[in-house]
Amino acid sequence: MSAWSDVVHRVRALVRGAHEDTAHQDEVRFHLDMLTARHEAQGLGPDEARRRAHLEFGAAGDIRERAREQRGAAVVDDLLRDLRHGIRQLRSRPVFTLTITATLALAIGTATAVFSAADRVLLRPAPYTDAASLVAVWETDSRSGTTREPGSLPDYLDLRSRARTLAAIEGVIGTIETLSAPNTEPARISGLAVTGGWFQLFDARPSRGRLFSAAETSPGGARVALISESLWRARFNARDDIVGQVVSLSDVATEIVGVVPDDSDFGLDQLHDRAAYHSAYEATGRVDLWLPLQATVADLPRETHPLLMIGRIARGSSVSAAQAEVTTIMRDLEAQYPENTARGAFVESFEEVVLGPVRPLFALLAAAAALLALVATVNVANLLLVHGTSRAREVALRGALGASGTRLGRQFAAESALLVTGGAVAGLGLAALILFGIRLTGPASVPRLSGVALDPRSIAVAVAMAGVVGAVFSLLPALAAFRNDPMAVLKGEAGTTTMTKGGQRLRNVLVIAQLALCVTLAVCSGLVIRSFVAVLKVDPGFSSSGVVKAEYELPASRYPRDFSKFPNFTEITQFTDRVLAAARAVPGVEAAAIAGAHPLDEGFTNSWRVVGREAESADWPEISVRLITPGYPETMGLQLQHGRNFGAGDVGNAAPVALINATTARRFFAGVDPIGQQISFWGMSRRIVGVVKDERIHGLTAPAPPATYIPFHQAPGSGGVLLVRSRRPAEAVVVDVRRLMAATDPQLATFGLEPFSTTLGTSVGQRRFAVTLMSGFAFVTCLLVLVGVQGVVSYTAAQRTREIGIRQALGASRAASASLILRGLAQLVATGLVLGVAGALAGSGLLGSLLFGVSRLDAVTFVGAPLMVGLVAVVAGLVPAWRATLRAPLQAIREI
Amino acid sequence: MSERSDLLQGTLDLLLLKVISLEPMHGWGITLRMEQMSGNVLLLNQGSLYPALERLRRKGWIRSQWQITDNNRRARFYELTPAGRKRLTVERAAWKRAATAVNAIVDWAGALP
Repeated sequence: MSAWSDVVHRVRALVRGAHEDTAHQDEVRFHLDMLTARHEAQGLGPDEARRRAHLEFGAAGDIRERAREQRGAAVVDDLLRDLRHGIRQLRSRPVFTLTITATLALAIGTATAVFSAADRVLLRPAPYTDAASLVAVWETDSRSGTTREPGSLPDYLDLRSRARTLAAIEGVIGTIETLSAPNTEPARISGLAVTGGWFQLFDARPSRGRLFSAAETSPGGARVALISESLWRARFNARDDIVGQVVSLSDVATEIVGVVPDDSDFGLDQLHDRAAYHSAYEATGRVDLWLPLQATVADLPRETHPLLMIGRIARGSSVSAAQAEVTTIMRDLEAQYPENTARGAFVESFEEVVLGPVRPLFALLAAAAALLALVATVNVANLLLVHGTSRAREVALRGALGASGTRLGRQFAAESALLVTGGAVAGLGLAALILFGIRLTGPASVPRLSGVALDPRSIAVAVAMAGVVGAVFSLLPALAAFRNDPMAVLKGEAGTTTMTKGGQRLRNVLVIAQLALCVTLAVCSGLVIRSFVAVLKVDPGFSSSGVVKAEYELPASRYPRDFSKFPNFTEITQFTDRVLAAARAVPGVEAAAIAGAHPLDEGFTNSWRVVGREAESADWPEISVRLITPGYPETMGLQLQHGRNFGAGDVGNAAPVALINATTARRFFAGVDPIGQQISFWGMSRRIVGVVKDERIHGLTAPAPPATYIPFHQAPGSGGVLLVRSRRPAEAVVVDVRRLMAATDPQLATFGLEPFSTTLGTSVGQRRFAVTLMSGFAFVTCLLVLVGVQGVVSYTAAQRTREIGIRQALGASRAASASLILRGLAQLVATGLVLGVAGALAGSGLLGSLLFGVSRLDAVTFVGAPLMVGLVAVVAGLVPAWRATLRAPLQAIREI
Repeated sequence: MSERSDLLQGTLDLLLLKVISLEPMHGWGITLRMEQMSGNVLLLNQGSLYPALERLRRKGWIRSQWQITDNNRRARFYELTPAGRKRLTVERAAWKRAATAVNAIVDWAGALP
């Protein structure tokens, strides 16, 4: 019979095994009945006839067995028997079984979770056709040293017509719109205004309706919009007649011409995030609204820079070729237009823009997960080795009774398979749990993180990992057990000397490796934790506790900004005053203010001059311009260092005034009293009346940029944020603020309504995420080391029971006996710690930007973390060693 | 009862193929038929019948199906497959050659050459 038909037959036998068995029984019963009948016919009694029939036939079970052997079912039978035996073995050692399963689950679970997240975030290609050829085209400014600035509309048009290395280049400007529909609360939506070929650049297609026409993306085109599928479902109940609907966008009637898939916005939040500054746009993890960019170069002249540009490298060209060509074009433009002084270009892979910032985070997590998996594997290997050695007697006995080597090997393999399967199943559960946590708490700045989940790829990784681990494990204990001399074991010397020299050395190496990995991880997570503490300790220049913020964007239709009347925008000023009055009337409110941007919003910058030092100040970087009402310092705890704060008199018609921050005073007014000096921008000059402390408006970890504060009423902005300091609980204040905003203008969409401490927390979200995961890994690893060391010491103690018992019987103290056991451990721990510190010295460089305010060689961490791990190891060893000294004398006497 | 004889090693397959080639029959029927055809001389070891049938079935020489017997009981009936029929021819030829050779030796009456 061919090998193939044998395989087919065996497989069929497996599938039909049970059925075949009963069929055989029927057949045999029939035969026996017939045989019995014949004997009866020959004159035997019924019982005797049946007995004779059975005798002649042979044992019915035996026939079944042989027939089954013929059918090839024996292999499966053996396997089942091995598994049953394995389950019995494991159940008789519940602590051992649980420890190993839990350890494997931890290793497989964390590794699978980290892989799933990294796979989803980093490894999956961008959902765009040929995403690798997409580039971000930034403008640079050699005066301020910024390399990632948006471009101007005229620059964009020049690049588009002249660049040959770019097959296409498109631009986008972020915008915030208020969507109103009848009978619903107005919603504020982050949207993007795009140039004509935007969707074609990404090969994005509408799922309903159509994209923008050429006329619509030209100046004066019809007012139209595309919406995301999510918005279509959430706000329009996925109605079929969405195309052609007219909605109100910031009080302008706008026709919806189509719906685009949700992933049409991949990376655009990150593009905004990477830019040195950008137009009013808030990254919400999804772009819900798309508008055609209809601006003219008169609306957006060369000195304004709102346009984020993305290009596609032409076939046969490269990023460096594009960089060279775009640089040449920008140099021409610089020569041609004074507005372009110091302007260059920076061409960068789009995928790098999106994924570059999160790569280090995931590299770190992957390294931590790998370390944890290694420690866990080492731990389990060690336990199995110990277990295998302690089973030497069983193996020797069974071998002596005739069990073949393969049979015993299979037995161990079956036990490992059971353990690994259990570990893998529990590990997948754990991974699902971790991923759930990541979805819940992951920072929005990491692209696609909200979509992480167990999928076939991650399950395949878990299964592969379990397979490798299982294969290794099934060999280890078998080797350990077989290496012993059966005669020695059976003669009873086993209890004292089953350890071969090689086995002992291997176990020691494993313990050292485990300790070293744990120390490395503990030091790295210690550094990250101390960095986080340092970040939280940073004096941001403002106080967030007790403050609630609410942002809004005033529609131009009802709140016009007629620049011929600047700064007297009556409607805006009135709105501001009414909101502030209403806020101050709320019980418990101590102070309230309105600002153009909250203290963690970098807002906008402007070029500026110091009157009398024009030539010198022309080369200075732009200054952040902060609009505030007089109550701002009181509300946000901004301290005045010098001069005066704004007062009620600093209104639109009064003399223009400004405050500057400490950085501005230090860098540009060194040795001069800035008070009374004049600075100018927007074509008018302002007198400096005070100097305030620095607010960290670029985030806690970035130093404050030069900033100036000007009275809100002297330059009313269309967007603003209400800041309220109250004695009442934040939740109550949030309700109060929502009510007062709605009362002041029911059609206005309020957003970002939250306690300011939440805003602060979100701003360090990515760091918090890294800290949580890292310390989780370190903690679990420490636990594993505890278990591992404990296991090895108990084993050592058990091996030396007789020796210790005799020593104690001869008068040795228990402390001396314990130290005998622990002496070996001390060496292992010391070696492990030294190696671990070396690993951490090499590895802490990986932490990169996660380090803040702490040296990567921070002494406290490098001493404290190894000490802690060492302490854990010693405690883990002490307990079983002490227990052994209690038990040893009795046991030793019994065994003699 | 007359004197009985155990089966010669290696002949069981041939005998089973031959008996089954006459008509489809169940295991008990095969036992009876073999006793009858051999004049009650050849005795089939009851215990080795079914493993042998299973072996033939695996080799694809016979197939089986459940049918109702004359006395209204369910039994598994075996029949030859075309491959089995071919095999029977081969085995029979082989047996004849072997038997002739054995007889030639056993019945040798002449002088040594």
